[in-house]
Order: sequence, then structure tokens, then C-alpha cells
Amino acid sequence: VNGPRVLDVDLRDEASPVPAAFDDVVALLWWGHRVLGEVTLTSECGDWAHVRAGLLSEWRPVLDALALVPVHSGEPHVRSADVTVVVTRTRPGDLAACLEVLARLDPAPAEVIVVDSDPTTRVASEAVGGRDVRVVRAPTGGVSAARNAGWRAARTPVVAFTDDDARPHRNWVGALADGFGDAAVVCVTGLVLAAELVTPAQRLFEASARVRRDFSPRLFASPAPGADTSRLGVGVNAAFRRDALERIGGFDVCLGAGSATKGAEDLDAFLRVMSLGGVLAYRPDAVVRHIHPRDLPSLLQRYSANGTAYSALLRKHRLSGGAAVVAARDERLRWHRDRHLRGLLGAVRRRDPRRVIELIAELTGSSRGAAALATEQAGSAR
Amino acid sequence: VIPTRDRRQRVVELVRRLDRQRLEPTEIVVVVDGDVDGTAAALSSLDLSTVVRPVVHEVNQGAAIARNTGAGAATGDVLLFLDDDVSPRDDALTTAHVTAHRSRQSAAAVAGACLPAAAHDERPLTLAARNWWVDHVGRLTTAGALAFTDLNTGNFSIERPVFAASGGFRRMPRREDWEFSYRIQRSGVDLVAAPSAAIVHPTDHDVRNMLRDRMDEGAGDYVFAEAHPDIAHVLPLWAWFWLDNRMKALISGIFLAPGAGERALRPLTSAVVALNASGARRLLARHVDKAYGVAYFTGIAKAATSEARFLETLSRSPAWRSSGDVPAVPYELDAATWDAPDPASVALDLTIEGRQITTVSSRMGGFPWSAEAFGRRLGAVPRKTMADHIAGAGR
Repeated sequence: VNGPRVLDVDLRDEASPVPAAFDDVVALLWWGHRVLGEVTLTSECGDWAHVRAGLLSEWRPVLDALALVPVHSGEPHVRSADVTVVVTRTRPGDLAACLEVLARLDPAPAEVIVVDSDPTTRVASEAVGGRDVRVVRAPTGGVSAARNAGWRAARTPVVAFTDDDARPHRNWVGALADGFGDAAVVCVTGLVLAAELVTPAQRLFEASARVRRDFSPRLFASPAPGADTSRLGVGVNAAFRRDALERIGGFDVCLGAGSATKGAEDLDAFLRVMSLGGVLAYRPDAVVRHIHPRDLPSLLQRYSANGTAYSALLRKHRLSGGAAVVAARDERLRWHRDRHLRGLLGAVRRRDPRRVIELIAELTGSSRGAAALATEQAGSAR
Repeated sequence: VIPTRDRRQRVVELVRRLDRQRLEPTEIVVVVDGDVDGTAAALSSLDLSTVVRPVVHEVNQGAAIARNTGAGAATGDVLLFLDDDVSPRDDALTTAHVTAHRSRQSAAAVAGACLPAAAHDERPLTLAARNWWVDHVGRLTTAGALAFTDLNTGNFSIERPVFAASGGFRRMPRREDWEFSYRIQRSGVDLVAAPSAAIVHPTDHDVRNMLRDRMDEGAGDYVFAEAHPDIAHVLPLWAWFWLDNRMKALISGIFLAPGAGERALRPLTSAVVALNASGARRLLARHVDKAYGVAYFTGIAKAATSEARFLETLSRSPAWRSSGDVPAVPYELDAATWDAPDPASVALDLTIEGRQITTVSSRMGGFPWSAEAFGRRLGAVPRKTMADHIAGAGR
């Protein structure tokens, strides 16, 4: 009714998953547990049999290729029972809905841990209710501290992270576990899509995210910041080997939502586990749907926070010494030149005010990154 | 039970008229919500056959709380709530209410008719206000089961134990009538129309007051939606979805600075006042909906404090869910009366003689389930706005 609906559509199903009366549907296409891609279906597309036949014909080369690549190759290195799910950032309504989705995961994880970032309220315990979920209290605010409290409480070799405003796909844990197909893989990330596209802000956010969306599995082993860093994944859909987190000392509490730097604790952790020689696997089959900012002010804050966070991340690696120093400097130059300068010029030329606003907000945020990091580091040192 | 404030003459006149009813009330409880004009003394000095009991709130607490106080002080079996500026049409008001209750086996709230008084001028907004009341009365006389939006605290009655069990009215800036009505309907109390239980309601108005009321309605609707998110989609605030992106951006600005929204209302109000006085209907129609929109969302912004919170509240309605997992409810158009459907329904399958016509989203708004409302849903008649009332004001 309100904006396009988002749906998961398995092309193997002959029965229509699309509601009889609908406007637009943004459908994530699946073939069993494999993600193919995303399409927008409109009411003019005709009946489902017709749509399905067209989609099958379009995706036939991909399906043929997938048949050559088995999902499981031999004995899996990680099983779903080796995975603990850690949920952070507790907002009352969202947490209950998220836990409802996690309860339906198939295969199920060994355990779900909720990190209560605000132990002064009963929000987490009320949302948990009678569910088979462990609640762990975070010592201080901030998503990094919460995630650290979560993985330290976990008893399994792999820890998967998500937030309460995320809705993982039913096979999420299975897909993450599959991602650890090789002992060299220390971290698996996945695809993040919109859980709803109801408000203009959400549609704007999705439009800018869609540009960078990747439906192909990839491996990364780049320990220093670079052009690939933004493609590594996001913390709302990531799993780490617990021993890798131990070796890097967990997430940096100077970064992340809830701190002045407002994010990038996930990218920082990805880079640091790779700097120890590990490989990061991006698996589009590990799907998490996320409730994007609903209102325009929150969207602008998000754009600005993205700029602050990435700038702080680059600053941190610039100060870290070693090979990352030059890489971080080069990446900052590339980021401002390609994304902000060229991006802005292109947006002005295309008369795309939304993109202009996004990039200006991000650029404005980026100017605060270094100071934000210094503030957090000074606070942390005290 | 009559809540009043600063309307001594009107309330005294109303009490005199009630004393002359064929079925004399057990008592008349007048709650003076802050006695600023000697209302309590004027009432005490009345020499009437009916017992008049003034109850004074030292500090103004709003009409909703005043009604609760009055209900708590009352002793009769049936509570009849009246506004202080109304006048019974005849001497059968109390009889009609009591008869409506006695003719029923189950608990009910009885909605009496509020007839508009003769318009004191021919200005577009005066006539538009009169038309609104005419629509309201028409609804009571033609509908089957009523919707919660049909209850008007200006003239309704309820059994006292039922009112006590409901917990009374909530403290809200406005819409406490809808909220109360919805709550009692949910608890199994029927809402029934008694068109013969009629009062006459003044149609005099002041543009500034109208816009202030609109602001309070916005705030009230938000509080309502917070309390009952399951039906947020039938409240006028759901109209946010039908606004274009420019208006949504303006509303984002109002959320950031509600004070600016109020300041923006001043020139809009002046323009509406001037256009109303000049009788320039087309220009007025263009301005008045904008002014109403700004006032309404300023009220919401003040109550919700942030747009994120407002949208979070809306997101708790089942209509928000984009997965389409809420089934449509069948609704037969070819029926003797058009009953208000369950307000929790998100979509309706409209049928004629069982044949499905179309699926429409549920929306209640001001004039639910009239032929016109269905026409709007079917796209045959455009959505009725204040501007439409103005356009049809002379008719």
C-alpha cells in the first residue's frame, strides 16, 4: 500500500509469492539458498507464471553457472551449531520483532545473546520475554563495547553480529557458516537490503545503497584501507571467528555508533582481522534486511555519520604506523576526489539534488572525523 | 454532565433548558474547569426543580478530565454528556437518550445528533462548518453500526457503570472522544445513534481557534496512535503517506522546529481570515488546506517531538507492513445500511451482491463509510477536503 513492497521470491516456486493486488514489488530472487539478484515487479508485469518464465529465461546463465558450483564442498568447516548470534542496540519494539525472526532461523544457531546497552531500563528483558535467549549487559554505551561484551560471552568458535533493527533471512546462519568454507576465512559478511521501503527517506537511502550492491561472492585479503574497503560489508551482517576477535582485541571502542566517531568499527575490525593474514568472505546468500532511517533528518544524520566514521577510520589507520599509513592517506585522497569532487560534479550535471545533498552531508561529516577520533581516544586513555 | 469554562451565560441557559425537559434529569453536574467568571456562584443561585451541582476545578484541567470529574460526582444510572455551548432542540432530549438505553439489552453508548444552528453569516468558512455538522447528522441518521469517529462528546450518553469500568477519558489535547469511543467499542460496548436526541450546536467560529483546534487534533491523533497503533492507519495522520515529497520535506522541517511551524501559521491564518472575509472562495480553498496541514502537523510535531518517533509509531500499524500478509476483509456495498467495518482492518474487498469490485485500503477520516467515502475509494469522487466544503458551502 505504502511504497513498493519488499519480498523474497524463490524462482523454484510455481505458486505466486506476489500478492494479487499490488503496486510495485522489489523482489530479491532466490534459487533455493542462492541469491540471484533483485528485480522490481510492477502490476503491469502480468500473472506470476508469465513473470516467472521471463525471469527464469533471464537468469538461466546464472542458474547454469550455479549448478557447477555446489553449495557444500565436502565437510563444512563451520556448522550452524558453532555460531552464536549477538544482537545489539536495544530498542523495545525492534528487539522483540528481531528476536521473533531469529527464533525462526533454520538452521538455528547454538545460541542467541542479546546485549543490553541500557541496563537501567527493562527494555531488553521485556522484549526477550520467555524466549530461549541469553541477555548480557554491556559495561558502557556504544555498539563496539556491546559487541565486545557479546562475543566475549559467546561459547562457540564463530560469532555472528546483527542489530535489533535488522531482520535476518531464515537461512542467514547457514549461509554465514558456509562462508567459513576454508580455514583461512576469519570473517564472513553478507548482503544488506531494505526491510521496508515505506518512506521517501528509505527509498532515497536504498537508491544510493543499490548502486554499490553486490550479488557475487567475493574474497578479500586487503589489510589496509582502499577502494575496496566500503565493499567489505557492514557490522549488522557479519560473523567472525572468535579467536580472530581475541587476537585483535575486539572492536575498537573509539569507533562505532554511540561514540563521537559514529561508526566504522565494523570496517576497522574487518581490516584488522585481515592484517593478521585472514581472509574475509563476502557471501550474498547471507541476507539481512535492515530498517533504513525512516525520516529525512535521520537520513541526513546517517549520511553525515558515514562521512565522520570513514574519516575517523582513515585517521586511525594513518596514525597506526606501518604500511597502512600511506594506504590510508591515498584512500582519503581517492575518497574525496572520486566520491565527493567527481560525484558532486556529476550530480550537479545530472541535476540530481538528492545526490548533491547526500554527498554534501557526507563531506560535512567527514570534516569532523579526525576531531571525533581524538576526542574518543583521549576519553579512552583517561 | 457539563464541563464548562468562561461561558457563564451559555451554561446557565443550558441548565435552565435541561430543567424544562419532559423527563427531568436526576441531577445536573456542571464541572467548572477553573472558575474565572463566577459560573459556580451563578449556578448555585439558580432556583430550579432539578438538582444542580457545580463542581469546581481550582485549576483548568481540560474538558476530558472535567468530564471524568463530573462522572465521578454523578449518581444517576445514565450519564448524559453535553457541551456547555449547546442547546437541546426540544424538551425530549433526556427522554430520547434514556429510551435508547432502555430499548437495548446490552451495554451501549448513545450518540445524539448535533444539529448546526442557523449560520450567522454567509462567509465560506461559516457555511463549511455548517456543512460539516450536516454531514455528521446525516451519517447518524443513515448508518448502521457506527464507527468510533461518530461519537461526539457534545451530546452522548452511557450507563454510569459502563463509563466507570472504561476508566473514563484520557488526558489528551483533543480526540479524547474518539479514543474513548474506540476503547469502549473494543471492550464490547455498542455505539448506537439516536437522531431524535438532538441538540443545536453553534456554527460561529474563529479562524484562529479553528487552526488551534486543528493543531490540538494533530497532537491528539498522535497520542491516540501511540496508545492504539493497531488502527493508526485509519486516523487522519495516516494522510502523511498521501502527501507529495515537497510537502513531506516541509513537514520534516516542522518536525525539526515546531515553533517555526507555528510562526508560519500566522501569515497563513491572516491570509485565510482575509480571504474568508472577502469571500474569494477559490483562493481561500487553496490556502485553507495548506493552513490546516501545517497546523495539524505542527500539533503532531509538538506531541511526537521527532519525525523518527512519529514514523516509528506509524510503523506499528499493521498497514505499514509491506509484506502484504494482512488479508483484506470482505465488505458488501449492496446492503440496507453501511456498517462501519472493524477499524483494525487494513484493506477491504468491496463486493456488490457478493461479486468482488475492488480492494481498497481502510481509511476512516471524518465521514466514514458514506456513499461519498466509497466513491472516493473507487476513484469516482475525489477525497473531500476543507476546500471541497468551501466550494460547496453555498449549497
